[in-house]
Amino acid sequence: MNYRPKHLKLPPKGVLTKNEAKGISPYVFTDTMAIAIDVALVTNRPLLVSGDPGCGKSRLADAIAQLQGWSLLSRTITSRTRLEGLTAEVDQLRRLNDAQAARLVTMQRAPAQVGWNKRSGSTNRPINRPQGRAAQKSAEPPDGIYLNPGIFWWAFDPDSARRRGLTLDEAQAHGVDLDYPGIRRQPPKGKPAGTLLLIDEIDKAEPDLPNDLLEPLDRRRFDLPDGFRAHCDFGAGDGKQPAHACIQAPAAEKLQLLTLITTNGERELPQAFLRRCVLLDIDDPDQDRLVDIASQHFPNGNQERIQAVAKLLVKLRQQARDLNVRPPGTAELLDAVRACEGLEVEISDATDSVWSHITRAVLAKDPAL
Amino acid sequence: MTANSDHPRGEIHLGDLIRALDDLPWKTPKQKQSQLQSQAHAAAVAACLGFGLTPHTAPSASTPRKVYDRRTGSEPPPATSPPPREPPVFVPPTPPRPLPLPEGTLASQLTELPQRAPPGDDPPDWLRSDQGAAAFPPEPEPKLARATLLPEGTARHVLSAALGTTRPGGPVHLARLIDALCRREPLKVLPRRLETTLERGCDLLLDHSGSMVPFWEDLKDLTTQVGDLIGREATRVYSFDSRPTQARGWTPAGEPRPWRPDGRPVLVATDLGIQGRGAPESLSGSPVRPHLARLDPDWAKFARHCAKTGSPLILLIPWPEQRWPRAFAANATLVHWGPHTTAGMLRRRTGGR
Repeated sequence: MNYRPKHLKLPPKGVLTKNEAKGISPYVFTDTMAIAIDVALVTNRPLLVSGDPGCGKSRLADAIAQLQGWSLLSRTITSRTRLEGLTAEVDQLRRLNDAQAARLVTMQRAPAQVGWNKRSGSTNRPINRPQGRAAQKSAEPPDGIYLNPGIFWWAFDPDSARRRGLTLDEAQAHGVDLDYPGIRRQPPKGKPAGTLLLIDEIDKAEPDLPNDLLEPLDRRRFDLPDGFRAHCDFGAGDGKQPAHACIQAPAAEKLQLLTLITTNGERELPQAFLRRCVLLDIDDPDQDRLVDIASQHFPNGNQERIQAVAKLLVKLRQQARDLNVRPPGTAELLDAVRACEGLEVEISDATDSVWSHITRAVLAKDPAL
Repeated sequence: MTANSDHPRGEIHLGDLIRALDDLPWKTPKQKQSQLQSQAHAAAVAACLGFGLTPHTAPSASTPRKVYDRRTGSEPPPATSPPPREPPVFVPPTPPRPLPLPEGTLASQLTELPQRAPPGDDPPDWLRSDQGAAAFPPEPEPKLARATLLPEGTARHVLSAALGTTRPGGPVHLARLIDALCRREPLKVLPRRLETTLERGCDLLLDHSGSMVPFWEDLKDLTTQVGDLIGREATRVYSFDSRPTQARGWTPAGEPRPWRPDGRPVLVATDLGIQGRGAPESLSGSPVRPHLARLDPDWAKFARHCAKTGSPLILLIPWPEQRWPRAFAANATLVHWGPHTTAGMLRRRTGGR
């Protein structure tokens, strides 16, 4: 490591060391990674990480959150993912059923008030009485109770997301207290909270989704569904401030936020989206770096064996490139070393040895190899 | 609400680069030998932000790979050995209609030209191998600039319209919802309108028959464009020669893989053999009616295969509509493959599917 990052709290050798007691997996950083992360942090831009499958893109998010002491939120994108699911979505079905159920209860409790309404000409409809209507309205749950906060809401304002945007009193009255959908880390006293938001495999989304994300990524805000408002007073929740129709992240002094987006490069992303992101392409690690990575994961592992597995992986990777099939990555290397260490398998050239079966099962998965 | 003024707006700009270079410790002025390293760090900072001032090299010794971005897509990858010289590809323009030849045979006469240089003479200086070769170093001929049949600006929309299928998952279907409420039916699932999706992927069938030779570069472009949009994993590419049911793809191991429809949209780039059957007007001036020319019966069989599995069938034809056969399978959507084709045209033809 030649570059000493300013904002990324990277240990001297650029390695996040393993700590089983704290559940920390190791990660070996490169200068390229450190520079890109620093640039993303200083420019407040999302970091778009590309690279072959299994090269450590998603694990990079864990490692950064661990180093910075930040909370971690992650969401894997599928072809079904929509913007509403990532920001705020209304549970319309529950809302409808609740409304129906409440109507039935009202009818059961006040049968005398239900019947033929001469004015409207409809049946089975409660006759409107000003007092009864007001009382019913006050007993109805607030609209916000049907809001499901998405990952952006949790990242921008976790306190209001926990209460679905209700005030503290409303949340207590209706028992609303959602669990944090990620790993929550409290900041040191006097320091601003930090969140790392991982949006994994953006290239699996429908082609329009990256464009839909421009506003939450760029301006760090999003609109709530039509007709819905939320109390986003950053922890106070006292209801003294007016409710808002949008959720917006606070200034960086209050909340540090890094959005990390990963792509396998399977499909082209829109130019408008690319032009808003800091780009990081994780290179294929060479043999020395593969050995370094494996040694960090298995500090007591057999070094000769690790060397041999890394050498084979480099060879298979080249073959895969020549054949235009998916090459094995770092994840496969770690699986192979883990299998060899766990089963105490020796490296062997014999065609029907246990090692050859492990190679086929873990490293050379493609039949073409 | 707390103002969030320090959050950037818009695309990455020079201000971001200045801010990053101003804030980050890319300079290491203490050691002389680290000057190059500092420059490399600065270049890496610029490269992260998409400013390709210099190649993104120094920090890691390994060769940088291309980030999936069209802006950098045209850069040639660094080669370790001289690239093999490939013959340049020239796509000839459409030849003008040949003039009708006169009847009969014209008289001709061969004349022997006088010899310019006696056979024993030395070649001139400029033709000598040592100088001549130096004067004309071998250089690959430049490729002609060419426009693709689906321009970059519209390809994404046109292909989305062609290959999009529908699934429930869009906005709430109010009519059905109100109907269910009126009937007092319990709702287990919220009725939703259909939305367009590309999740089913695509079978791309390329016609590599002789009549399609002028469009082979366009076939390559189309493969890239479809892969960019749908995703390489979700795009299965096949090739055929005149008979689409015989289309074959190739596995990475080099094994042939026959085409079998399985419900995913099928996009075929073909001329249906039209070019081989003549132009709209014959040489004698009388109009040729391509619909009268018999289409290979394999096309009907092919369309039936697609209909059986429910695979939407879209044919991209590089010739104008006047040349198409009039009768084709009802389940096929024929579209002109040209720069003026729009997504709206596709939607009108597919009916939103």
